[in-house]
Amino acid sequence: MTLLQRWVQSVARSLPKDQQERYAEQWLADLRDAPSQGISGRQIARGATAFALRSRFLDFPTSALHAFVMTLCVAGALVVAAYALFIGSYPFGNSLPDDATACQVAAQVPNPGVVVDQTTPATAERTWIPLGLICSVDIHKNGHPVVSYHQSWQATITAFVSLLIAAGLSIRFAAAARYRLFPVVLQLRREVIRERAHKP
Amino acid sequence: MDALRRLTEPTVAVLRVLVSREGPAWGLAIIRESGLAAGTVYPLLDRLERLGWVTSRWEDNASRSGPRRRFYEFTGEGAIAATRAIATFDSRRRRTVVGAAVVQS
Repeated sequence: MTLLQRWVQSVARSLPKDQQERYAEQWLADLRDAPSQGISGRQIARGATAFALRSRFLDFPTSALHAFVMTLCVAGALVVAAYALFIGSYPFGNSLPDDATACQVAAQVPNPGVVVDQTTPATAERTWIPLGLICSVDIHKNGHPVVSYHQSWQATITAFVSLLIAAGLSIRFAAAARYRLFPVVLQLRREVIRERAHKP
Repeated sequence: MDALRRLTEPTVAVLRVLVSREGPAWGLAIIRESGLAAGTVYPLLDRLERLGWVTSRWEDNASRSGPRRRFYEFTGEGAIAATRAIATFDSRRRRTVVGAAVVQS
């Protein structure tokens, strides 16, 4: 069995159970006969891969409720991911000047305009989890939040999982935009062009 | 049979190949004749099949050994809808081209 044959069989196994056998056989037959049609086996393998990716990520139920829930999930995941990336991106080395500053910003996000003092440690009233850091925020006597911080593997995992979820959902959201939104935009554009064409 | 949600150029290219055939068309032949990539044709055929425009079946050639080829053909309603869809696409494209030319001038 060639590498391409093995590849399409593996790809077919990633499909829903009821489709696996059908597509494995179909693609193997196409691979065998592709050269006689002037088509390369690689193109068949690429096609099989594209098909599997599409059915995994792009083809999904399209009810209005589903689309609405999906939009909310994507927005939520993106907010978490953006928060983790831009405020607490400590492990990537592109964080704010230091951990304390990152935590101060993290504390200021939900308390805009409030001056934040920094001391450690502090009794946490509220906790935020930027990437790799746990920031604890306590309300000080004079009303200023006080922040402390420590690194935490749980925080890192939480942030990475958020990023993965955000990435996965974003792909689906992009697909929804590409397949549901763009056609509407294109149609509107056509209407505008048509309207302009009919204007005296 | 369900309607196509969007009518793109690749979809129309595949429909044209199927319309031009009198009998069932082999998937690989559709790829060759449409000039589209396999990655575009496979999902399109799958979508058309799910919408009820085309049906597919295995080849029944006992003299051939190994994996069987898959053949696609229009359902009765699918053939009518496809002809209509191609006509709609062509007229829409003509209007867009004319409209864009008028706007430019």
